[in-house]
Amino acid sequence: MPSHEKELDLLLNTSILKPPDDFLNKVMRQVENAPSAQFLRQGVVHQHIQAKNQLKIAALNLTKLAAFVFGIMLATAAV
Amino acid sequence: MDIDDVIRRIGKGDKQAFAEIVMQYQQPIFSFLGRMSLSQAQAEDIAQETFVRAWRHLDDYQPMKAAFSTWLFTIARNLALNELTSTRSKNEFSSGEELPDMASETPEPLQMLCIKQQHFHLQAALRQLNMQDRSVIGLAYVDELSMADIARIEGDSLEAVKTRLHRAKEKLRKLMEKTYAKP
Repeated sequence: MPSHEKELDLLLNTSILKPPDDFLNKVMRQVENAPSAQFLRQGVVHQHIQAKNQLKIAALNLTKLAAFVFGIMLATAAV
Repeated sequence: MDIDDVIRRIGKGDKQAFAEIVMQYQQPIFSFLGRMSLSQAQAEDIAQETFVRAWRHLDDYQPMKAAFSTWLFTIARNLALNELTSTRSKNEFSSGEELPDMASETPEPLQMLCIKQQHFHLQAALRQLNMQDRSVIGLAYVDELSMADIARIEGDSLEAVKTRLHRAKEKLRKLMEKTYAKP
């Protein structure tokens, strides 16, 4: 009886349903026939991705700056 | 899969790049829908609709707000809840209904029968949970989602979702015990 937590977890992790073999083709057929998403015309998502990348770079620069300041503080304290 | 790269390629007109998204997420979505106690036929419809909606509304996806998987599973979850609401009284398994095929590798026949029986009891127990409990359990076993992602999908705080999950699993465990105790 899978009443214990680990057994229940295992059971819930085992998928009972699976996509049929032609699932991908079915979806792609619908995608091919679907009207173009707005982003294809406006590049909205592309802008979002660019903004996310810029944010990542800014965060990295901030980390570098913090490390630099911390290094100076350590050096000053040592002197 | 680098989702940003895939979306960039789609943005450049490569519709086939979307197939990579479907291949990556089709099984996790079917597994989630199974835990929502949907039938194979319902899951096929919902999963298909999930991907088509994702395609049509890709411009609504905002990578700075949430991961792609969070966005995709929000669509799947909402569609599943709508389906369960509209067919609440119709989609119960009858006791004589054949058990669905397993998605995992094929074990020995006796072992297979045992697992099928366990899944039959699991489905029966899941159906006795309310939809919110099913939803949080269904999402909790998606590898691609963290608890923070689930909280965002459920529109709840992280602590609230953790509590809900704990209670839902406890309810499920008790229901399973009850099911097995029946002669």
